[in-house]
Formats: sequence, structure tokens, C-alpha cells
Amino acid sequence: MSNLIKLDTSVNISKLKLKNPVLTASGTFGYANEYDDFMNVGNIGAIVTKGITLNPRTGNPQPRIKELKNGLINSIGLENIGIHNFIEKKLPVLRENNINFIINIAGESIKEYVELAKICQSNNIEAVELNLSCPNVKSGCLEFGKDEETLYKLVSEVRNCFNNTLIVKLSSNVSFPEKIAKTAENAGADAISAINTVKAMHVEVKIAASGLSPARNDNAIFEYIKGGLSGSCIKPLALNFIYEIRQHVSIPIIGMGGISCFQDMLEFFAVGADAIQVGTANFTHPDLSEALVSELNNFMKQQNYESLAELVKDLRYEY
Amino acid sequence: MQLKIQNKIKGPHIVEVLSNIKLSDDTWKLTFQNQTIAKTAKPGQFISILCEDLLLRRPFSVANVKDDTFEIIYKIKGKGTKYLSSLQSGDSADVIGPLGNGFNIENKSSLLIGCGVGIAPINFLSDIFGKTGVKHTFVECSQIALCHCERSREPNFLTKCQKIRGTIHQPLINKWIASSQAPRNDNHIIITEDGSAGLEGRLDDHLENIINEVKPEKIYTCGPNPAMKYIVQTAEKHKIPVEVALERDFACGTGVCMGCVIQIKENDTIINKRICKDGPVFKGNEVLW
Ligand SMILES: Cc1cc2nc3c(=O)[nH]c(=O)nc-3n(C[C@H](O)[C@H](O)[C@H](O)COP(=O)(O)OP(=O)(O)OC[C@H]3O[C@@H](n4cnc5c(N)ncnc54)[C@H](O)[C@@H]3O)c2cc1C
Ligand SMILES: Cc1cc2nc3c(=O)[nH]c(=O)nc-3n(C[C@H](O)[C@H](O)[C@H](O)COP(=O)(O)O)c2cc1C
Ligand code: FES
Repeated sequence: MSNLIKLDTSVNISKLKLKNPVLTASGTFGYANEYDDFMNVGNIGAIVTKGITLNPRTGNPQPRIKELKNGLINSIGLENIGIHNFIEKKLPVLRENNINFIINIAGESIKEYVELAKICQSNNIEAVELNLSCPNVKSGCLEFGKDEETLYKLVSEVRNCFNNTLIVKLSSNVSFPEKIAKTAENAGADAISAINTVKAMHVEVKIAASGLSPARNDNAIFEYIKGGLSGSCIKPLALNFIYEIRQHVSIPIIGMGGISCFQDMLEFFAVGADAIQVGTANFTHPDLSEALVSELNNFMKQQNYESLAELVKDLRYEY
Repeated sequence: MQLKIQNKIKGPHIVEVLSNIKLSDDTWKLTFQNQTIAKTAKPGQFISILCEDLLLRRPFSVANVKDDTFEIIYKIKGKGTKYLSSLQSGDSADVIGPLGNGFNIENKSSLLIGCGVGIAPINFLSDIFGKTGVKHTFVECSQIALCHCERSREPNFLTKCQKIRGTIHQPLINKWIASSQAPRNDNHIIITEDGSAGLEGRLDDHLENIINEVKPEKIYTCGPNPAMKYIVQTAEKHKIPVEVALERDFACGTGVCMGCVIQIKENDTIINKRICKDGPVFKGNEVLW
């Protein structure tokens, strides 16, 4: 233990001080200490809560989940308990257990985002992640992350009523990542997080022994699900997205998308991330985030790094 | 603080495989060594196993516990269960659990119905009832005879089943009881579609008769949804409460992703509940089938 203490794995995301760069991604870790069954949640940098809306949402109909070879499609539709239940029931648990956290919020209109931000401010929430990019709800957040003008308006209005760390979460479903990221920075974002899930569809065509028939009958059974793709298959998209925006913004970037081992984490640092989030891989290895923290400590010790900043600097891919 | 003591109790546990036995063409029984799970699992709870080359873990009901070991009964469906069937004594597996809420055990004369591989949690429940002396009858329905328990792997099992064919509420052959560790006072009814053991036919050919004969105060069941729905509807006519153990594809299996929700009728309002965390056991009359 004593030689661990010398290592400085901390990272600052604007005003938010994290003891290490390992976070868990929204929607994959619950609201508070749910994963205490599998690890010490207090040991990681921070958890990001499930996306929270003004009013509780019941989400999309089933099917909501489809496992693919190297990824997962989900169509949860932002089912969540709503901000008021969160403040009443989950916030005290987070604070009592000394868990660092970031609240992920989603609205259907700028007004709703502003209202959510005000509630966060009045409860002195240290950090908010704006989900502008959820592919699973019909109205709302997805479009905010795409159009620069509305994005600017949204982020700056939220900025005006929220003084603590404001993170804008982006999707890779855009034509010009760097423009979107720059817009968020100009509007007052303290950090960018990326990427959210990628719009995707799964179809299964089952052909009966009797073959296909032009008249629709039971010869072919179609099963399909549309939703957001996550997991290791999106890692190349995520790395590229972060690499592209890193050159255009100076605020910290929190990278995610398919991280499932220590090597993955280093790759995200290499392309420009300052911290990372573990998402879908929590389902496979519920203690992965904690394991990454100890692997990071071991690695730094082995390689004689005293601070994470030095390690990240050495890893950075030169543009 | 209390929470700190509870950290990590659900794994991941690296557990040792003690045996992996084929019970029928596509159904197997795996026995693992792990004290924590064996000591804490309740009937109806499940464990979730990491399978080679698969992103998501696979959930399986705990089918029994004995000393420091626990077992699962699984049917081969796809990659995950094929991987399980490749495990051999001495291998290890990465398991989390026990997860979810088990059956509510009451001291009421009970009818336990396991359909297909749904016998897994029902088998465990039946053992607990046997140990605690709760009066119960165990009905096991399958397409063909399943030699799933110690007692049924005895020589001449099928011949014995044939003997009770056509009779219901036949007390479990005493020898079978003797070969099981637990003191049992249950009755065991086997129904197979092809008549290869016990009563021939499907559950709906026999359920009314069984209920009239056994007069249970409570029913517990696990199996395919249509079977459970039929049991709940039949039990409703007799005003018997039913507990059902449900299934659905899980992503997290731990209550965080909201991937497994079903609609439940609670006090006349319809709400979403997570099968993995709020269940998998629910009151039959609250499920919107
Ligand atoms: C709480 C719970 C307890 C369970 N207990 C048992 C048990 O004791 N014994 C047992 O044999 N099985 C049990 N199951 C079902 C078991 O988890 C699936 O059969 C298994 O995940 C299939 O994995 P696979 O990789 O072999 O097949 P896949 O390739 O994943 O699937 C093959 C087929 O099975 C379907 N399937 C996959 N998962 C499920 C599921 N969870 N429920 C229903 N259909 C599914 C798929 O949609 C597909 O059609 C349980 C499921 C749950 C949710
Ligand atoms: C089941 C599920 C639910 C999610 N819910 C949210 C959400 O509520 N808000 C959000 O911003 N992102 C949500 N995400 C996206 C993740 O936070 C993350 O951005 C994405 O999954 C990519 O990371 P990964 O590949 O490591 O999972 C969800 C992802 C999954 C798989
Ligand atoms: S499978 Fe994730 S909540 Fe049940």
C-alpha cells in the first residue's frame, strides 16, 4: 500500500477532481452503489448515473436487448426514475458512501434541460453530463447533438444556470465531429464525453424449409430491433471520433466506446482522452472498472511513472 | 458501515466444476464448488456464468445446493450452453450470484410445477420443502423423461415410472426418497408428452385433476410462459395463489440496464419491473402475460 500512495493517478475535469481516470458509463451502472455487490464503487474515479429526465419514463417496449458477436444493441428508451426520485432516493446514498458521481441528464426540449440543470445546481451537484445523443427516444436529445445552432443555444442556456462541471456527451452519428465539439466548447462546456451508442439495426431472416414466397406468409420470419450499438465493435469509431476532435478543442475529453481491458484504456489516452468510461463491459465483468484502476497503478509503478499526466503525455499520439 | 461489509459478496466467483452430467439428449446438470453461493442461494435465485467468446453472461437457476456445492440444470440452446456442456470436472468458471429474489417460502400445502428445464428451481424448492417439512407435491412435465435427480438415475428408473403411469398422486417410490439426502415427504408426479415416464400427455390434460386431488393452498411454477400462464389461469378458478419464476434475455442481470423489464399490475396500476432484480419470481396474477 505504502508505495501506491506516491502514485498520482488523479485527473481534473475542470473543477471536478477525480482520484483516477476510470469512470463508468451512463446506463450501465445504475444510479448509485448498485455494483457494491461486485466491487468497491468508491475506488473508481466516478460513476455516471443512468440518464435522468424531468419526469420518470417507462421506456420502450420489448425487445430491448440484442447481443451481437462483439456488441450489443439496446433500445431501453431512457427508462428512469426521474430527477425528483433521484434527488430523494439516490443522492443520499451517493453522498453517504462518498461515491464520486456525475449526473447524466436528458430532456425533450431546451427548457427541460435548463430545468434539470437548475435542479442540479440547487442541489449542489458537482458535475452534469448532458446526454444530447440518445438514439432510443423519438423526440429530443438525438437532434440536439447534431445541429450546431441548437447545440450552441442548449449548452449556453444550461451553462447560464449551472456553475459546476458541465460535460457534453456527443454521438458519433454526425458528419463533422470537430465542428460539433468546438460548438460545445464555445458554448461553455467544461469537457466533452464521447461516444454515445451508434444508431444500428439487427435483422434476422429465417427462411422456412419450403423457401421464400412472394406472398407474405410464414415462410420468412423477420425479427428486428433498432437501437443503439455499444461494445467492442464501436471502439474504432470512438477512437477516430476522439482523435478528430482532440485537435480542435482544448477542454478535457472523456472517452468511451467498447473499452473492455487495460490496453483499450491506453488506446483512448493515446488518441486524446483524459479519462475514460467503461460501459457495456460492466455487464460482462462487473468489477472491470475497479480492476482497471489497480492495473493502472501497477503499470505506473512498473514503468516508473509518478503521475498519470506524465503517462498520458508519453502515450499521446503526435498529430 | 454496513454497506462496506457487503461489498463484492456476489462475485465474480471463480468456481470449480465438480461434475457435468448428461441427463438427456440436450439437458445437462453441472455441479460447482463454491461455499458462498451454496450457503446463500435460495430457490428461485439464479447465477450468471461468463461463457467463452460471448459478450453477455448467461443466467441459470440454482437447481440445488449441498454442503459447499451447487448445481444447475441446463438445456443446450446456443453457444453459451454448448460451452457449458464442454466443461469438465476440474475446470473453472466465472460466476456471479446468487442474484434476484427467490420464492416466498410459506408453510402451506403446495403444488410445485416445473415444466421442461423449468424444473431446475422447482427441484431446489422441493428439496427445501422436504427439509423443512412443508407438505408439497412436485409435478414435473417434460417432452421426454428427464433423469435429473440422483434418485432418478437409479437403475430401472424408467420402468418404475412406467409403473405409476396412469395414476396420479402416487406417493413417490420410497426407494427414491431413501436415495436422496433430504428427508422427503413429498409426492412426485411425472408427466411426459410421449409417455416415456409417468403420465402421458401435457400439463393441461392433467392439471385440473391434480389440483382437485392435491388441493394445494399455493402453487409455485417455472417453465415456458404459455405453460405458466395456463397454470395461473387454472389456479385462479380455484382461487389458489401462484408464484412464477420468469425468464427473458438479460444484458446485465443485475438490475442496472432496464433491458429485462416486464409489465406488472400492482394495485391496479401497470408498472415496469426488472425480471433480474425485482424477480425472477412474481405473483402469477400480477404478470401481464
Ligand atoms: C432467471 C433465468 C433463469 C434461467 N434458468 C435456466 C435454467 O435453470 N436452465 C436452463 O437451461 N436455462 C435457464 N435459463 C435460460 C438460459 O439463460 C438460456 O437458455 C441461455 O442463456 C441460452 O444461452 P445460449 O448462448 O446457449 O443460447 P443463445 O444462442 O443465446 O440463444 C439461443 C436461443 O435461446 C433464446 N434465449 C437466450 N436466452 C434466453 C433466456 N434467458 N430465456 C429464454 N430464451 C433465451 C435466444 O433468444 C435464442 O432463441 C434461465 C434464464 C433466466 C433469465
Ligand atoms: C443498456 C445501455 C443503456 C445506456 N443508457 C444511456 C443513458 O441513459 N444515457 C447516456 O448518455 N448513455 C447511455 N448509454 C450509452 C453508454 O453510456 C456509452 O456511451 C456507450 O454504451 C458506449 O460505451 P460502451 O461501448 O463501453 O458501452 C447506454 C448504453 C447501454 C448499453
Ligand atoms: S438485465 Fe439488466 S436490468 Fe435486468
